[in-house]
Amino acid sequence: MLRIFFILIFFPTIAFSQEQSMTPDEFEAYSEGKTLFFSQRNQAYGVEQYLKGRKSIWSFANGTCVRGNWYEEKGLICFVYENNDRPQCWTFLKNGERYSARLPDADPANDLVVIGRTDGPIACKGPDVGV
Amino acid sequence: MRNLKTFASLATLVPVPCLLLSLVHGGLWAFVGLLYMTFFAFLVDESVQTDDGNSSPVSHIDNFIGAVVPLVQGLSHLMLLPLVIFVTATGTGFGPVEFVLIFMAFSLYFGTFSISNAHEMIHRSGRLHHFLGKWVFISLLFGHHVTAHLAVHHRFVATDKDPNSARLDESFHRFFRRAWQGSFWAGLQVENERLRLLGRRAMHPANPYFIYLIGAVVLLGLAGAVAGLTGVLIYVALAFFAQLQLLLSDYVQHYGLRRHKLAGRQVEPVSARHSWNAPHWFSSLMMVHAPRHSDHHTHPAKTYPALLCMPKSDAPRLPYSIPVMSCLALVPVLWRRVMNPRVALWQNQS
Repeated sequence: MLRIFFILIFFPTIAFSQEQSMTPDEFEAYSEGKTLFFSQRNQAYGVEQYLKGRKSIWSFANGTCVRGNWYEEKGLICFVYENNDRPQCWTFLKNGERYSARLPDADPANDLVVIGRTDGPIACKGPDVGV
Repeated sequence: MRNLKTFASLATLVPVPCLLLSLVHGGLWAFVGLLYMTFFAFLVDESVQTDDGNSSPVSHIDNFIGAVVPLVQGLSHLMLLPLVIFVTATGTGFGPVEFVLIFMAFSLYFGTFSISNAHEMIHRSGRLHHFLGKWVFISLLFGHHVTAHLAVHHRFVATDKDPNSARLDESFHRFFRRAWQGSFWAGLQVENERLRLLGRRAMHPANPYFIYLIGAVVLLGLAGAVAGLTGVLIYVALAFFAQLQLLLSDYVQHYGLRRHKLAGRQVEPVSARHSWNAPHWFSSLMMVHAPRHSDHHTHPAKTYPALLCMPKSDAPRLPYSIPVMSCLALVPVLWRRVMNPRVALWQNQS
């Protein structure tokens, strides 16, 4: 009886606890040359295309594109975008095939989850489109 | 058997059967549970050598037990809480003494054991642990602590910007009020700030405070629906005493310690010198190593089997175990007499 109980606890524990945070090199390898689609709480949140040299182009689900770049600080991946001086720093996490971005110490329920990863460029609304 | 050490962390689960039995068979089992959590723990603390060291590497079994025990404890908590409310509010078989014993045993278990395990869980990045830890806090009507602890207390610990770092000479009673609401508002500010970073407005539905507050209201409503006004009152009282114990341990674990200011507006980084520790082995286990507090603040990502009890030359040490110090904290005159000299000793070291 106790054995069954522990087995039942074992599997979800292992499944849900194998989250690892990605190092900047791992993140770069995962993202460079790709476009990632993010959702938050199962709703489309935004898209980002990652270019060589740690540059990126971000767009909210219903927004226009902004350019930015990222760097590593204190183990976090910090983004600075052209429309805002303040860097935003994130932890990128990998749990099996689930990739997500989380603000430091934030509730995992609010993760930006990667729901798509393609080679194609981001589709930007005008006036400044594409690379 | 090195793993015996980690199996001993089952100490945090031992009261559960006693508490369950007390609801069926009455006050005697509550008394047994209380004895275990207080007197027995005190005896073992005093007779077993304090646990300096623990430098043995953490094995896979340690990690597995360290992952599972808090989950089991959290689930036990979520089962025990409605049970005790229902049984004590609607049961007619308990005399006043029995009721008091049962109430004390459960509130001690929730306030010390459930909270320590929930604290462990919210620190983990795993979604399951965080979710369960969050709901244990919400169930104790203290959801905002989840945000405030991670994003306010850990960031600003041992500075005046942290509502949960007690100031020198501040009595516990004053601290309780200040920390409770201070952490509420500071945490809310953090969540709204996060929403802004995500391009959303403040108090957007993704703000966890909605869950904290609505969750509490819903649970109170359930208590009322199932157990009437008596049930709600018992629930609020249990939650209050649990929160009291949590804030007592915050008070005890950082009282008076402050990070020194550096040039400009900076403060020194968090180090081992900014927390009070208690090396008592058994009460530390019951609280899943929360008393190894310096290591926890310098390495918050460490799971509890890996936490080290730092030597007394490196990290401030309490004269008695956390439970004993918590009792002492309730008498400000005595507390200051015992602790102020110790604070001075540590503050004067650079």
